[in-house]
Amino acid sequence: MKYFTILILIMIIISCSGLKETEQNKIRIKGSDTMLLLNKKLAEEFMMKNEGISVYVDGGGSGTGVKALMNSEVEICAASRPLEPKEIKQIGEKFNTVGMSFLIGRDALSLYVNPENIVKELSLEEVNKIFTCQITNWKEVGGKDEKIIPISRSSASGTHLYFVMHVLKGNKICDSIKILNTTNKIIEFVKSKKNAIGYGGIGYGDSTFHCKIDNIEPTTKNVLNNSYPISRYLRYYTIDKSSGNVKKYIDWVIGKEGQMIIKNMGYIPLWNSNYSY
Amino acid sequence: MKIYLIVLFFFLSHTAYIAQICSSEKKCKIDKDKIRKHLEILGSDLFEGRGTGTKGGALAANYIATEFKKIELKPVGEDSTYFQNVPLHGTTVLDNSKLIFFSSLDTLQLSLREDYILANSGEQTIIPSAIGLVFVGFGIIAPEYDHNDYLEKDVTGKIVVMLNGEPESNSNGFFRGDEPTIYSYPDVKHRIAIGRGAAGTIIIPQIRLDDEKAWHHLVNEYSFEDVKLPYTASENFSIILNPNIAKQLFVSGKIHPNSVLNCNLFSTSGCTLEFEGEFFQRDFKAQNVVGVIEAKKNINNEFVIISAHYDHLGIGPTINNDKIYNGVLDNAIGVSTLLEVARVLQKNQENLKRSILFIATTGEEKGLLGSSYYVDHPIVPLYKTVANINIDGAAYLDDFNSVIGIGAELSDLEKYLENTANKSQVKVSEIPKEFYSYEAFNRSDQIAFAKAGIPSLLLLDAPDYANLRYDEAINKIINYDSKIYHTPFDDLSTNINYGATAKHAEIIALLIYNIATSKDKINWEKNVPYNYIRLQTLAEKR
Repeated sequence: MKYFTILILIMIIISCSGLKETEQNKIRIKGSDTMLLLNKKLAEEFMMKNEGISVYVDGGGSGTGVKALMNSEVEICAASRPLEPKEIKQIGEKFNTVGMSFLIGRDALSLYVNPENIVKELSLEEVNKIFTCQITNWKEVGGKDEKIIPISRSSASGTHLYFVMHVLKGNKICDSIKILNTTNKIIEFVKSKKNAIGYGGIGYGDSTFHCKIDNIEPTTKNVLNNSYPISRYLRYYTIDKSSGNVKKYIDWVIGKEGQMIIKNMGYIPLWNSNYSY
Repeated sequence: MKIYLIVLFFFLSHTAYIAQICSSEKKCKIDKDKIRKHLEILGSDLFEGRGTGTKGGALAANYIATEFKKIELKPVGEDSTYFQNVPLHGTTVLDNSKLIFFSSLDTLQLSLREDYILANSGEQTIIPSAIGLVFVGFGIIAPEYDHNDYLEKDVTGKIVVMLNGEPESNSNGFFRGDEPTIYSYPDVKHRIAIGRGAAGTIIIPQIRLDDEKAWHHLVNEYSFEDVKLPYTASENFSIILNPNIAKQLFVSGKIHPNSVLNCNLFSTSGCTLEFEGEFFQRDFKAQNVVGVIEAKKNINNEFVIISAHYDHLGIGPTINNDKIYNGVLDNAIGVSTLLEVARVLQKNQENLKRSILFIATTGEEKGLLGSSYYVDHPIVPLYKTVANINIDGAAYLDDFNSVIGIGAELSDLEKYLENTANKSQVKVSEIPKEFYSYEAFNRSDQIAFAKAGIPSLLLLDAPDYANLRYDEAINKIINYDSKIYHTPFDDLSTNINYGATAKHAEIIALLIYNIATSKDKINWEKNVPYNYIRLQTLAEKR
């Protein structure tokens, strides 16, 4: 009986230790759809080099990621926008911290049009007016006399919030604009409708045309020299300063290998291979 | 850097007592001419003020690495170099940024630098639609002092307006009397505000309305690129508002007919604000320079860290036709001292029981970035690092009779300091009361090491000089603080008593030698908050 009791205790201890170990070796990331493919690729490469650590990636939009972080469903929220004041407040109330932000790369927002569209360039002001329905016909911006069909991401999307803040200057998109949930759906829509216009990261949308904005092409070079007007940082958020495998993962993403993957996936790495000023 | 106390210290001629840490051979003595040579190079215009992420900063890092190699320190940086690359994110606010206040009667677009300066920069600070303001006094929630400026105030989604500093206090039981508490720090106030849902903060500095110089001094301090690590606590919009503009805005806007400096009567009701920020942003790497003297008898594989920041402000606003902020006392003199201390200690390697890691840090002026990055990515384990001695400034005014160990009383380092001082025939002094408010321990790299649990101290010469009266010394320090610190005038025209600097270096070398030849544990005093972290790193062998 005595030995049996001891055996049970040992099993419980081993079992508990095992569970703890499993949890520590599992990293969960949720958030930005813009970053979804990138996060999956980063996770895949990281797992190949770090046996025993699993990384789970999910999308749903930056806002969804923040909620999951606050509910302790994930260790990392991927966001294509900074946290909103109310989100910081919620983190503050629950965890007594304001959250940690990690810059991992840069992205530029492209305006996608159908390759058949003769309009290849727009000003920021024209984009603003198109998405607030003050401009509704392509002829008003140098195109054919045909109705513009704008398409937008949902309000859960960090891309959408960034677009509202930096392109629409806080104005809302007009109610008649169709909403789609992912960047890929936006691209498919623009590809299939010659008068459509949508927006998303420059790493997406090879089958569409990426408009010049204010006469500047959306290229890596123009983002790095700050001339392209709508670029943003991609971020990870954690509740507190990361440690253990989460820190290891984020350090790896910010390091040489992670940055190379970010570059190869069509985004803009924070640092080039040479580290000069 | 933010080490005003740097100036506190001075002195002695080289003919006075010289601490011998090895034999009497000349090579084992601190050589003041070597300190002078390093200083004249690092402080020269060629190095352009050693700004973080600039050509001058890179030149300085290379110079230090070359000197490390000459004195045969072991390279322990990346790829067996002397460099630890520190990733950094820089933001410069552009003049076409627009900050607009709206009141019930008026709209006013403010002018960057003349009317306001940005305490935070970047895309997270933009406020595209006008939002309301709420005044919250000092913006402090301090339960231990039964003080809460946010009582019955909902600041969610609003801009919080607050006064700099903290309530006046004559007793240690309420905001620690003359000594400022952590609550007086703008970044702490900002964090409290955004933790309660504020969309941003406006801080009104408590400077006299007619003191134009004070405002311009503040503007100069914030004229440089805003550099941060790529990982930070969340932050958003934050500005420092010229008190004259605050008065004009909130009084002429018929908001309230009282001085902005009277927080009890101040109201922002009816005011809103929007901010269309334009920024130049970049990401780059700067270098901590790292090298080791390996102890021959290091049975426990322990280390002592000696640090000195080599960065200064770089090139900035022109004052009297000079735009190079050379930072000779802040901190070319500290790095020069570190190099000479390293040279001398290297000669005594065989007696060491603990290895010595020398770190010339980058980004100190930008917020202790190099040291903070180091403790997040340590080259040797934190729990094996027994102490940090930081050098920020060194004696230059006159021969000194006393030293101050900033932070020494928090740990067993106080015993080592007293022992070293005895051998060096100097006294250990307290911080002069005139400088209580400077919060010296929190103002240089030693605090980053302390926060990682490593007992640390900053050694300074006290205003107890051979040839200067106390009041003369204090006046010189105050003069430095108000007229030279963080200006282009901190340059090689400064009259430096290299004998005093050499004495300072000797005391530091002896202090390090005493620590590195001991096997005794160095503990924090009980109830010191850093002890809690130390115990964690020891338990986790981190």
